[in-house]
Amino acid sequence: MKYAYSFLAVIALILIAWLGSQIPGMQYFFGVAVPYLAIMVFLGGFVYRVVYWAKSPVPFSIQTSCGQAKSLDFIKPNRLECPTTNAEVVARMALEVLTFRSLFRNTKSEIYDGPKITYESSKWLWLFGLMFHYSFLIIVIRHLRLFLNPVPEAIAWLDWADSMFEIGTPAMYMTDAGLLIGLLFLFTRRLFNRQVRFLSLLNDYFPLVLLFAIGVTGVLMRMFLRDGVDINAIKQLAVGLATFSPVISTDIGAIFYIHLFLVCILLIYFPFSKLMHLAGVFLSPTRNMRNNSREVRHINPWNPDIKPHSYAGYEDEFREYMVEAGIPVEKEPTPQKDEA
Amino acid sequence: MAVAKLEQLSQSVVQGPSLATGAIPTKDWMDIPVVFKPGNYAFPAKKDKVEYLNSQSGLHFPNARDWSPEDDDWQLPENWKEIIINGLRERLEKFRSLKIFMDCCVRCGACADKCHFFLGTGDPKNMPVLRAELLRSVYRNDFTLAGKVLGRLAGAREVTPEVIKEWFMYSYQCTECRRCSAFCPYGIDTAEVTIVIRELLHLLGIGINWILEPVSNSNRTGNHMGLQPHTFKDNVEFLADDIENLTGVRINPTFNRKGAEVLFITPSADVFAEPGLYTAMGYLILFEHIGLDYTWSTYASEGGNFGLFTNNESMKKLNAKMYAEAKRLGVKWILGGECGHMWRVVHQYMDTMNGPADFLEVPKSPITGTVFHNAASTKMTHISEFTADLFKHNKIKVDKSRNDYLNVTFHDSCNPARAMGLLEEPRYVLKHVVNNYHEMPENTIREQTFCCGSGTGLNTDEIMELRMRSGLPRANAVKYVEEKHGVNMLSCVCAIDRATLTSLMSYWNPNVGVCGISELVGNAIVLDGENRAELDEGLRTLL
Amino acid sequence: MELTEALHNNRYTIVDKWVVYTLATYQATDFLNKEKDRFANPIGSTIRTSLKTLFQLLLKGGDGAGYAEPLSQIMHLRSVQEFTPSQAVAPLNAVKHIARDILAADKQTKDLVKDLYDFEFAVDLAVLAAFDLYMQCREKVYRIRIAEIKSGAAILTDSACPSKALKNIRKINE
Repeated sequence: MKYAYSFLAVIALILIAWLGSQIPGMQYFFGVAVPYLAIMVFLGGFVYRVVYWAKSPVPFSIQTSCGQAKSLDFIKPNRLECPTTNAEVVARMALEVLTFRSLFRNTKSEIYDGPKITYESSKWLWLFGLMFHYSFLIIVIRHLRLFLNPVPEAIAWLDWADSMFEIGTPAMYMTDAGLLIGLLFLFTRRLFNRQVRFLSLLNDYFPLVLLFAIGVTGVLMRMFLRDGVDINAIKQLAVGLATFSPVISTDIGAIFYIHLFLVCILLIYFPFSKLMHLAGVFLSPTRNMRNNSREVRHINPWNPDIKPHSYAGYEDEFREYMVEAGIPVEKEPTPQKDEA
Repeated sequence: MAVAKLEQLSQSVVQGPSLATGAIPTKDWMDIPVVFKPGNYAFPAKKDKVEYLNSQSGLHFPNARDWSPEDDDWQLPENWKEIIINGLRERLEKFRSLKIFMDCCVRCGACADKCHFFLGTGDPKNMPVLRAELLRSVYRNDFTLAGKVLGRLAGAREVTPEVIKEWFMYSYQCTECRRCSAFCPYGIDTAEVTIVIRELLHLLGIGINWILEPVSNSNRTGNHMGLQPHTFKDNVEFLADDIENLTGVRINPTFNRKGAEVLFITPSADVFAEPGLYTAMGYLILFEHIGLDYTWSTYASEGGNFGLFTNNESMKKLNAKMYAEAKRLGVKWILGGECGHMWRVVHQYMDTMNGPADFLEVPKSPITGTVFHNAASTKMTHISEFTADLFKHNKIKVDKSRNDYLNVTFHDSCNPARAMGLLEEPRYVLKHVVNNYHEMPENTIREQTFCCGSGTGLNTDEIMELRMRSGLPRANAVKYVEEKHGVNMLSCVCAIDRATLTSLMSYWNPNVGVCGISELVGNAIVLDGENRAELDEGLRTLL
Repeated sequence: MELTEALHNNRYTIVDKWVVYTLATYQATDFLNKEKDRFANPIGSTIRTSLKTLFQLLLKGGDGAGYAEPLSQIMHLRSVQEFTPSQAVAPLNAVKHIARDILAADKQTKDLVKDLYDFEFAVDLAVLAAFDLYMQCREKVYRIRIAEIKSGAAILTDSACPSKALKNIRKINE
């Protein structure tokens, strides 16, 4: 049911954008007001969330060491999995963020029982996850060409590289396919892997469906519904938005408004959802701390003042036994008084 | 017709609300209640222990009472909900890790099948992600906008007595081994979540006796076992007697001696219970052999710290004795024995909590002159680091063949592996003292090591079945090397391991024993002036 | 066709169904079925390997001498997994019904169903052996408990000191 709600929500959003943008005058609302609102919510929410996290201190040094630590000279440390310097932490983080190191960690042994069909099933998550995220990143960067005039060379090059196989007219972007295939995998995995389905929430299905709808409307606009879409008008609007002087042309098709509206919803949804893992991964103490906690003292700002049960109290209680057992004491026992 | 019979068979046995068995859950996990029955929960802490702890300065263990998890009514204090929500708020403000781990999980499921409790029980609520969701759902409900607006649709739920029961069940089916954290793309560490849930439960007077009693003992007598100073000394001297019987060499360890160069601290189980005893004999032989100027302490006679399994305040209070005693005795540095969670505390918490230890010197091996820079601030060195360095400099005379009656493998204990990165030192030492050595499969050792299944104070006998099933992944890997290479000894560097793996092995792999690394070192050492008979079973030989 | 031959020919299907049936008694069935790495999935792989071996032995018939080895693996697992004794053993019985279903479903083997008596008797022997093993495992668990208590680990919670200290505190307060 949870996934069904996600579909319903996205369909409702599509209808709102589609019908809404047909109402005369509402183009300005969907083309200008909503995008500005979305950007503001996104930036504001993003900063708010990061500040909210950062306000809490990291009281203890709780890195997860995933390799040999630096100890004796003759024992080779694993600098990437168990960093001791800031540079090594950066490298570890880069490996994590750029290659999804931890997801890849599922090294399997050589011994298998039964058919090898499900061989390293968990690597698929890594592969499709990586594919989705990189495709998404490149797509976002590619879209900058709409906002920038003239288009920077790097972006133009990226655009060319992404469509270099020249499949179809206009040439299909590889990343569009990568994004959609990745999302499809992540969605079906959530649905059919019972374990994952058991723990999935509406908040897990919804962004997948939303992103998929964004991808599909984008591809539709470029590949199939080109006639209804005036790319120049879009560029004019995008550049206008970027320079705070938006111009709405009436020639922009409904499909564009749907696409744009869904993107705006994504931006608004982002800071309040698990999508914030984008920022969170950098702040995760188990990954971003150095494993040098015995070499350099880590400071806890709220370190409470707690004293141990004192040695004096301990000796007072056990002094006779200690003296009898020949254990040195600080104070010699006082002779027993018979006052009672 | 026959199909009907098969269905009947299923129905006739699939009865009762058992968690690990029965029908496939078609319900949402939030709708599956927990059921406590003998054998699936550890006994609650005795009222007087909780009261005692609450009376200690700096500690907070309120709401002591007599209760049982099997009761319908857990006699929660009247304002329990307020206590939980405020407690959670306070911890969110204190721990960034908690906020990040609450917000960032994408429920990708990478951790799901990495937990030994899940692998051994097949209970979906033992998937680390779901264990965290138990708390996360409450966090969403009270601390996030989406949860407040969408409620259950956004995975939020109000905290109810049922939720508290669920927390108790599953936070005490987690050994804080951090294996899931190694596989999580965001490094989400279920140990942190478990720690917070347990802290919150303590605010309601909910805890288990196997943890709180050792904490009380350790606070008062200096060790979990509750050994008083003279008993502690006697026990160590018994070990020295045994060594004399076996080798003809008399060792005279000292206690609470001021002016010694090194203070030696190890888990008290090592001087009290088998097979830790043999590890302690190994320490004694090693220190005698190299002529180390060291002392034991009866006041700081516990390396382990069950405080870690309750809350950070009691962890700090117990740990503080180490520095206090080092300062009182005027030693130069501290040497720590083989222990898992002790080393998590020493490596990641001690200096922060109770440092700076500026009255100590950076550890320097008096035998080899090696300075342990990696312990420059905490001033405490691990026995495996210390011993590996001795071997590197050829300072130990050994006869490896004395361990030939063994075929050894090494179990990486969770904390030294994933909270410290101590992987190669023990192996380096082993290489120098045993001839027959085989590693277990790659995905069950080093940073991917499987827990013994009884860590974090879950090594109590009333949950033996639970321990046997959660230890299955480890036992299963041992079985493999036993069958393939004839391995008959599982070595480790952890006191809890030594005690609990012994039970685990006697259930799953009865031909495999358990030992500490130092036992093997001690057995291989050729002491000056020794008069040693043929010892068929090394230090365990009965003469 | 002979019965033994028919069962042998269908061994993969039968064992597969048997394994699926047995693993269906766990909540995380899906995972236990799919994950083939024996270290990443000890329950699944133990059940699979043991049932496979057991099935071969059942086909041979005889006095059931070799059953203990594979059964012991399964019973070690199920005796500590919150199953009642009948739940723990029941999946072994299932192979009777599975074999019958499979043979009856095929025209060529349909007539052989009436000959299943010997095979089912072999299963009965296995089930009886499994009960013994179940009890052995349970007893072992209790023996381990006792061993732990004897080894002194119980001193952790049986020493009197904190409560004694508490009494002193109360005295001071009074």
